[in-house]
Amino acid sequence: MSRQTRRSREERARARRRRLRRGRSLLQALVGSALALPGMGGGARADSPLERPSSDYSFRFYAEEPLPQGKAAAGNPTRERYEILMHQFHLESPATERSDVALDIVHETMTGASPWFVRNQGGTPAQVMSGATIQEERTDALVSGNYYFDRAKLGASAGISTENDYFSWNLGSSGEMSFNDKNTTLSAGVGFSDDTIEPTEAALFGRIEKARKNGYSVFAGLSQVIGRKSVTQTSLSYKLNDGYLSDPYKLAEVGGANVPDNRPRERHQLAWLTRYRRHYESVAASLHLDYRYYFDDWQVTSHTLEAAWYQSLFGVARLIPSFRYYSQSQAEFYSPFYASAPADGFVSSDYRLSPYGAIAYGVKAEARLEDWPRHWDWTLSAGWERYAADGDLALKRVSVESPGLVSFDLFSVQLKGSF
Amino acid sequence: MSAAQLRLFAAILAAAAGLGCAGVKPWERDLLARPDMAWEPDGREATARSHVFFSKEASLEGGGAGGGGCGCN
Repeated sequence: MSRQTRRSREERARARRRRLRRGRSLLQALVGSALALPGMGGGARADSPLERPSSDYSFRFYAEEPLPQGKAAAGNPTRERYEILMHQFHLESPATERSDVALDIVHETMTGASPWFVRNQGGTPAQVMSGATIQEERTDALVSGNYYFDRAKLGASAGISTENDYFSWNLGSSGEMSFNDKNTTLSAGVGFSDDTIEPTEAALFGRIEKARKNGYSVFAGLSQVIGRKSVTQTSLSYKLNDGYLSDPYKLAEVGGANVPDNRPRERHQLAWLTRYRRHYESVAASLHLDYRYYFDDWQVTSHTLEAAWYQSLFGVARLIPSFRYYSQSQAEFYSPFYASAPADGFVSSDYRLSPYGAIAYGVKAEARLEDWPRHWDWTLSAGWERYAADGDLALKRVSVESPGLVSFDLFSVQLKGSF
Repeated sequence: MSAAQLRLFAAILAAAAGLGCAGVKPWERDLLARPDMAWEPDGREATARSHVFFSKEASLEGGGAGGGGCGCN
């Protein structure tokens, strides 16, 4: 064989090997993205183990608007409400070829006053806030992990939460299975929590000294790929709350005198959540739409509609405006105040059990830096959301709105690194 | 849940499952894999907002089970 012929055969062989390598990595990329169908868990890559560790730190500042002067009762000690500083730390990492783990730590400091009771002022409900400014701290820790099969995933989590007057621990387990070329995913899970409350200044204010409650929850859901650009998911979540469910820091005015907040010792809750995600290639943006219908055996029903627009910019940034509408009906035993004690003895003037609607809107901006210094990727984001509750925003007419309805601003910043 | 609501939920489930007949092949999943197409692109934000709304409203968040309690007033 001549040298020329040998060289051209070698060159052709090299060119063939190059083509094969390119083809293989292209196939790998496509298979990788196929496995990354959005799943129930929440991360973008939910049905294959994490490929690399990542960590993020978020700081949030939550500030409620002061109680409007017109809603405060005569002699009300303060109109200031809650301010919360929140730190979230998250760490996630692949563990074995088929598993990953994560750690979440949350630390919050809360200061301010909260609604104490509602007074009947000439037939109009007026809010009285708790007196002295409280300072509380809460720390949460959660460990979780996932194990992946070819078309299924199993997850488990365990966590604790502690505050000056509160301790809670929880366990959860969930699984999902895919069918139909991974176009359809069924998921389900269970959760358990055990909470103990020991109210501060119990003797001084005649509060219960110690109480417990348990939560038992279960959910089931179905995700379906609709086409190349859209997915939808619908799920049902049920929770049984059993034990002391009243608020030891709140009172209700019954026949002109204040009595402790007293709610049933059981509550059955059901939430039906449907989500839709749709990508618009021509404008490089994705639409998120969520609707939740909720009801419980305290007669509260609610509707929540959330929409967000994820607009990609220049391939390295994103701008995300969002909107949320919420409307709830009242708990059957709720009233701003009572002329006389109800037969079953259940009383609460807590604004959170009153009928109202709320609108929230916000915007978040994200910027990414990739491959710095070597193959680390970073994302920095900042956002703001404003929430306002009002009786006039409810779907059904509200004749008497609670004077304690809240409005707040939530500011957030986050730094995330993938290594 | 009323009988009518239960029928509606079953119908949505059936419709959603039926949509699977069209099917998207693994190599057509590029857009679906985008981070902004995830159910929760930012897990921390989802947790924080869920905690805020759980503390200030009367509803259950939905979408999962478990997670911790708090003495949120």
